[in-house]
Amino acid sequence: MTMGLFPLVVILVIMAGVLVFHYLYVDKIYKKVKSTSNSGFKKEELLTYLELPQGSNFNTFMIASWMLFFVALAFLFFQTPGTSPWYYFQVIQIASSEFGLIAFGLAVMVITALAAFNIPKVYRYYIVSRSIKALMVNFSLLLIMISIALSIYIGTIYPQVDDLSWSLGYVTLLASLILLIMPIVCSLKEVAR
Amino acid sequence: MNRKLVCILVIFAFLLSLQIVVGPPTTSAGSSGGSGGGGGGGSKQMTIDDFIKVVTKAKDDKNNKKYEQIRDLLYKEPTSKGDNIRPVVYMYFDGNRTNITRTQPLKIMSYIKDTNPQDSMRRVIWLYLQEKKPGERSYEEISDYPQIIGQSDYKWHNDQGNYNFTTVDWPEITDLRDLKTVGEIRFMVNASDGRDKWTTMNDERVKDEAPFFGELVLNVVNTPPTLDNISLITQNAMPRFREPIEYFAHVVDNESDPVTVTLHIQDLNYTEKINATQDVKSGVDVVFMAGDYGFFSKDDSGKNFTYYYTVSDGINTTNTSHFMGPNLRKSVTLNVDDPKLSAEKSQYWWQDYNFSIRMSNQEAGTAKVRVSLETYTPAHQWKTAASDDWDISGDGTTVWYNVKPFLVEDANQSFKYRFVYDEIDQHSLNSREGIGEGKINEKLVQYSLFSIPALLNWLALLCIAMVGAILIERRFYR
Repeated sequence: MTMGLFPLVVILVIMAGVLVFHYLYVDKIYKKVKSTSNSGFKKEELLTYLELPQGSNFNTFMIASWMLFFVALAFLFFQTPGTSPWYYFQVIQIASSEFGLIAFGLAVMVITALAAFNIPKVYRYYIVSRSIKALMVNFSLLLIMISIALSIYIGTIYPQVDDLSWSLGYVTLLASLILLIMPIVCSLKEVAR
Repeated sequence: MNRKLVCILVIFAFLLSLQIVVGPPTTSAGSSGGSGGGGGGGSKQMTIDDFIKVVTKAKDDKNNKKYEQIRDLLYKEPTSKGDNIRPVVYMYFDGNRTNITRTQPLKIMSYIKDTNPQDSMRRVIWLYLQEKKPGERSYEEISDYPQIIGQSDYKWHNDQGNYNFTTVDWPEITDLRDLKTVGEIRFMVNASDGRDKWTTMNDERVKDEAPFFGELVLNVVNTPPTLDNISLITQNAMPRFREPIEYFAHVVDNESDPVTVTLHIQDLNYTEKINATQDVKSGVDVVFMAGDYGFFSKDDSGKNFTYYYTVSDGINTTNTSHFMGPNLRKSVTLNVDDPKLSAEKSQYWWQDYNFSIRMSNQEAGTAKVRVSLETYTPAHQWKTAASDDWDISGDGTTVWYNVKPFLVEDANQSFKYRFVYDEIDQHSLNSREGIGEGKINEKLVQYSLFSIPALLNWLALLCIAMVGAILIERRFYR
């Protein structure tokens, strides 16, 4: 089984990289604007002016996507042993019950609520084209739900393992992450300029 | 102090007179002035020092009455202007003299009244407490030491000032818990002033008028021990003779006496079958286990019994009322075959397993037998999976249970099972064991991916996220 720390680290590194890039992006814009203007203003004020409305539907889908992204991540890496000494099937009474996964998913949502509610706010500072928006809305949630379904399958056959299902789950999760960070990645050119 | 001084002076005066009579201690032995030298040896002359030693030793010896004789002999009337009037000694008890329990605190005192006009006219008096227990014929002295009333020990006087009085406590009696019989217990005081001896009972000047008595009579009663919470504890309403049958009671005795509890087991005609006795302390629970005492045997099966207790504290013995029980169920002997198990090949922990065993009654007729199924895995050792009463006939009855005996912790573990019955079988055993084939399947989750629970889990997560997202978007993104 390809489960382990490395695939998780890859995802975390991507997320951290995007976060760093976002701060660099904002900082660069701030410096540029400040160099062309004599008036003194703060970065927070600039951010307020930079905000672009992305639409309710897009925001809603992105919040739901990020909530489920963290659930899918936990299902894939912390449902069965392999990544961490703590995993879901240690709580054997809940894990074997019919609706144990709902409890597990809810617990993950509560723990990651702050991140899931705030990350989509980042999209306000980027120009997201209609095509990218459509791509994100149509496919990110779908890919995440496929990853969750594959994780559920891995749970139902536990303690047997299915490497293919896990790998597919990982790939879909990674693909959904790439979709979710696409507006920021597309701005790489701007920053590089 | 004065008393001692008087005694010493008197002894000294006596010894001085002896000195004068017998001559100096250096005088040689023999009263004939040495004329009988060598003739059988004369009596040895006692020196004053020897005499003092003898008297001192006699004084220290509590049981030596000679000292009191010497003391009385040497007593010298104090110099006074008038005649000594003997003091009046009363027993004093300020309390209810009837229905006294043996643990009730008591304070017995003596009251001494002296009418001599001057202190110097009084004599030292010695008081000894006497006791006559219920059923005994004579008084017995119970004072460890006499109470001594000196000339100046009278603490109070009456309003007119024509007599002085004092009281003494008798520490020997604080309660009557050591009394082995109950009834009237009597107290009086023996008094001596060195010249006269008298008792409070025969002093004509003493009139019984509470709280003053010549003879103090207390009526002592005993509270008989009792039993509380009498119960017969059995696992079943109709136990079998070999099952645990516990006779329970709580012992209560107000005087905290050692209590002897005897359990009497009788048949329905109140004919005693057997009895057993335990000596216990008050306040404890007394338990008679039928198995420990061998109260019942197989011959008693199918019979009904009664029981009662006898409780005694050594003074009173009381019987409790009769109680019903136990009603013993008739016991039989079974023929039991090997147990069988049928289960699906997969043997998941959540599945039904069918356990069965064939039993028959060796005796004529049908017997009601409680048969329990127990399963064993390392995670749950001999867990009862099912239990019921079965009518076992002479032709044979198949006892079966179709149950889910395992829990998720039992997954991937080997198992065994046994039928436990409350009658003995042909091997004089009351259980038969079987071993399960292979291990319980290791799978933990009951449902597959393409099942309603899996779909509900998946959809529920999606719905929760969507609803949460809508609420968050409306609240924080606008």
